[in-house]
Amino acid sequence: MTRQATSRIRRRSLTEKYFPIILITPAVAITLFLVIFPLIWALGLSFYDYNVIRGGVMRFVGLDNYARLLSSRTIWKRFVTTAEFVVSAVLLEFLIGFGLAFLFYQQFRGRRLAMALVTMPMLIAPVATGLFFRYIFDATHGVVTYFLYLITGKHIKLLSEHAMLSCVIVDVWQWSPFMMLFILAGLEAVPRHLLESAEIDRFSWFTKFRVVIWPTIRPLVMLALLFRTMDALRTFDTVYILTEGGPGTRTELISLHLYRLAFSFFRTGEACALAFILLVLVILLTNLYLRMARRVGV
Amino acid sequence: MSRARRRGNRIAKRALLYIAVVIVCIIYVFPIYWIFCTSFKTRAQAFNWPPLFIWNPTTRNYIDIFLKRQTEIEAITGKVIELATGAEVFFYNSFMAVLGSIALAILIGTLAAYSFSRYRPKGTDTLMFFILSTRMLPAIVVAIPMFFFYRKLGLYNTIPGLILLYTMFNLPFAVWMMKSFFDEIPIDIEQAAMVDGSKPLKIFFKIALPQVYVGLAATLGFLVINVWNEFLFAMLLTEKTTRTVPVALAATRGEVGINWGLLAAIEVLYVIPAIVLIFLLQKYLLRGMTFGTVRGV
Amino acid sequence: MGMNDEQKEDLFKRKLSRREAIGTAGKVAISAIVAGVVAGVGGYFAGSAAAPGATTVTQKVTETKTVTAAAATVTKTVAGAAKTVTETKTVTKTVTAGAPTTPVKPVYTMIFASPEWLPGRLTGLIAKKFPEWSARKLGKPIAVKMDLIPWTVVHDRITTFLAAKSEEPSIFISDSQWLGELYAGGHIKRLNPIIEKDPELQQLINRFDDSLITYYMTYPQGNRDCIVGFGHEGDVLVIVYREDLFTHPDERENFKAEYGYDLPTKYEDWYPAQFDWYQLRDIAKFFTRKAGDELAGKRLEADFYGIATHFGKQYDAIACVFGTMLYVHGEYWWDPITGEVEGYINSDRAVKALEFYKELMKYAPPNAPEAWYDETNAALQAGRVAVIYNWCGFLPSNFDPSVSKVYNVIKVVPPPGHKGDDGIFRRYSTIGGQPMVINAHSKHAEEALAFMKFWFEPEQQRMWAEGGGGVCLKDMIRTKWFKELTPYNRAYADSIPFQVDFWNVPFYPEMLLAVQEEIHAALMEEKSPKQALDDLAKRHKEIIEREGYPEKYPPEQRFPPGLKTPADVIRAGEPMSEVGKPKK
Repeated sequence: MTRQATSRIRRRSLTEKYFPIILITPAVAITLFLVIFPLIWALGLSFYDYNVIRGGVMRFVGLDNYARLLSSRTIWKRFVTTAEFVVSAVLLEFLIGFGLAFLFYQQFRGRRLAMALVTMPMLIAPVATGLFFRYIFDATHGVVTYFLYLITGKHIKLLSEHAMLSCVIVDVWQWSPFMMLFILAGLEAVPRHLLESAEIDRFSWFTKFRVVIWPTIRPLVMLALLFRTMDALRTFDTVYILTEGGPGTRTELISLHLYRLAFSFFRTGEACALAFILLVLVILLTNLYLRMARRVGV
Repeated sequence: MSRARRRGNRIAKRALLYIAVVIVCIIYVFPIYWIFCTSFKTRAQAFNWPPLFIWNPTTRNYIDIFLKRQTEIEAITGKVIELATGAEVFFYNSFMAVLGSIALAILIGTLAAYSFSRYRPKGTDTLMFFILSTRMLPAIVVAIPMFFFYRKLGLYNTIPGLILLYTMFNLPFAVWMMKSFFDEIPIDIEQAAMVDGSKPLKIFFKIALPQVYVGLAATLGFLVINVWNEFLFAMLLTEKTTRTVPVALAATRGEVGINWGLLAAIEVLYVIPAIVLIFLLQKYLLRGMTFGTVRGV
Repeated sequence: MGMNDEQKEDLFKRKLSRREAIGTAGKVAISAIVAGVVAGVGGYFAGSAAAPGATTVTQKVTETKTVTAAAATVTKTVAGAAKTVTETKTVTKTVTAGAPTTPVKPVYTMIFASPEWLPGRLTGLIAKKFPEWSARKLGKPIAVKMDLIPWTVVHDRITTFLAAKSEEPSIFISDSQWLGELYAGGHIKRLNPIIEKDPELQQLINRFDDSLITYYMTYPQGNRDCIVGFGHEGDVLVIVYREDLFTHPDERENFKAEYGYDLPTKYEDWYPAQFDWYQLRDIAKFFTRKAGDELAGKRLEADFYGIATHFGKQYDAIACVFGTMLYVHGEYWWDPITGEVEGYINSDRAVKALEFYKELMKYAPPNAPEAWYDETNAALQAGRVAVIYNWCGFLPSNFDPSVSKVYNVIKVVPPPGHKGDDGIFRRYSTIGGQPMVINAHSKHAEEALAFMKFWFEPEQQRMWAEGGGGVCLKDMIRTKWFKELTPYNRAYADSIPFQVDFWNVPFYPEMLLAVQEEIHAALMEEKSPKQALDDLAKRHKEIIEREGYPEKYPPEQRFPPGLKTPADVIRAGEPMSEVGKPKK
């Protein structure tokens, strides 16, 4: 594969001065309009003590909301729970995605159909996924409970006693195909001739992987990890419907807590502050990824 | 190793492969299969224990989606109150919002991506990151201000309003992916055309764009996955007339608790077009990812 | 600048794939659009036969027609005057409800926001008669249109409207807990000044049962001086039991042998007899069987359970049912006057209540920790539980043969009470249902109040009852007609006087969430009941302190001292009608 550099086109006429700007204007305008204004409004609000439904006086409290959130033991517990969820889910998706990618790398009859089947979970609405897995895992009526009953003779209460596991399973079921797609794409992009020469040189499987395969797929894997982590951090629908943060607070993710702050308690100022803390966290993660990707010399 | 033994090994490996594939497919498809089955069950059948794998199917749920539905009260008081459900509106709204926003996002995003790729206007990196950052936001933060915003602008409870919003959701994906595709193709032809005096817009349409059709297909696929099931904003910014299917799914929780059969039926109907689309675009999804992002971000 | 062969080849290859791509992409795009349009259009045509929103009510109508004999038109003096013949015809009419005899064009359309369920749709149906009524009574026809919102998001949407201070909806459904939040935010107004000037409204208020006024219509609870809404859909928790099992001779014999008294058979055995929750616990324990055991002469194929009710973390599932346990043990959540929780929610009585609640879970289906009203119904309908304690409003499906296996063997009764250590028998239950309130930002408050008067007229209330709505008027629910209308109306009517609600103060959501989390933790054995309630008291105290209740609250939002609070009444074991009366 030859590298193509993107070079600057020599500016020659007036149209080229404005043409690029015109092209990007709609995109930037929409983003500005629909994202930045609300964001700034929300940022401003995070410095006030305001309850949107109780109205009343908006008290300016500066960084009080942030201080209260960052020093609250409850918030830290939520972050830990969220980390537990995100790490387990993304890790499992990574491993399973890898396995699936290698599986589908082989050529076999019905490969296309099988792949279509395996990518279907991504297309089911999270509301439907949450509700149906709740139904399937239900300790009294669920079909998975039934299978477990046939094996163990007991009604296993998946959603109460193994709540985090249930949530992780649902997320992995729905999104491991996503990982698989990315990794598979990378695998297919590995230059055939390099693989062949590695074969000829009798490299061990491990070395082959390390030297030939990994460098090619690494950027895709990183991208997939990035997207999945960002999305896992924002997971709300499925977990809310599956366990509603229960039992107790065992699966209460930070996104659930944010939702409650915003829409149950209507502590709007605080909710905005928490959202920005989350945003900063995600930006940090993204920058970390970008730095690592650049270091690989991609 | 003898040739026969080697062949034996290969057959064994082959068999293992097929078994693994079948197991994997079962695991991923079973819940969907169960949803599909539930859509043909009555409520009593859905809650049977042991769960029914063989039963008398009914199409009542599918009919209930669009036509009049009777309430349970009839069984008790003898009074019949038929209430129309009119779910066809929801499907229509969803399709309009999704297709409209994808078309817009691809149009706007591709133009912007081309500019970022070829002309690299000042602040490209910042702007690109800026556009990507919209994907990082917890949607809830933007939700309340967006509600006020939309009401003020008169976009509340309108299809165009929804299309505009979803376009914004789709832009990051569209811009980033298309930029990668543009980065891939050699700039030489365009430069040549430039030297020959062609207009920049013509170069875009006649030379650059045709080379990234694969990328367009790939982007289309991902955008579909992106907005097909959007829930939060649809829920907040619409009323019954502009409601989309994901919100309608949540609304099936009514006076009978969760109407599993109806829920399953709506989901089945809603997911079929998406599955068909992705199946057809499968090839491009993979190629698209290779083209775009092997180089890195 | 020319291209070398390699580049040419690349481009050529790309050209091919481009052609392919156009072909496929084009096909795909077209098929997607076509599929979408077809689905939309097809569905539209399928559904357009039923014009959305049109509703049909089939009624048997007996019409009395007065027919004047045709001979009268001819001025033929035949033996004097023209004959008047009175004919009585029995006509079966298909009445399109609400189609007024003279079509009126409304000068204004008010919006009524409601959760999307049967009562909401039924309200819309009844509201169709309003334009004609308002044309008659007010001189101008006003229409009322429903905005139906899915249950899961109804709070979010309504509060978002109110935060934006929209004029519409003029009327909306509010859960009883939200009253404080809405009043404090200025979204609903104190209606007393208007009521005092209007004798019709005063009469109307008196037609509600006391407990309903206390919990549906006033803020703070029971303060008649601040009426903020009207009862709309009444809902109570009732007991539904398997009569076939309770009357089976083998079961009766075994039960009597084990516990020394008979299983209840008649309605009167449950109410007004002083049936006790601990007796119900015994019954639940008795009926909990494993697969293979015998039940009512038959061998069980699957496990059978004694009682099913709400133990789940959703919204107020636990707070309502545990609330009942709390009240019958003689305790309340807090003291509304001082805001004190210590010694209330974590008193010995409360701990005993929680231990009892936890014990009930032993005889419940395995999905109890996630159960709410739907799962509870499902267990009954699948024939796997002997008794359920569930909301009246969700009971109809249990009587539908196409849904419920037990539709003809179940009976509905009011819930039991409990005789405490002090010898007093307390029967209380947590109230459900929703009031309807008038938006303070609306410019049509007068018309909205007129709608209230319209709504509570006998004709409309009849339609409401027949359609399955929860009637809130004393005079109607005490009639024989109402009690016999459905299998559960009698229990509903008898239960109204002893309904209790929890806090409706503005900060109730946090209080509620704390209850749900702590008690769920106790149910899941993560903490002991005593520990859970102590932690709960601590959390509640934090919230109340942060809110500055009651000191920082304006006087009209504080519970008037000197009047009996729900806590006083429950602790003393007095009837709910005592709330708001002066302390002796």
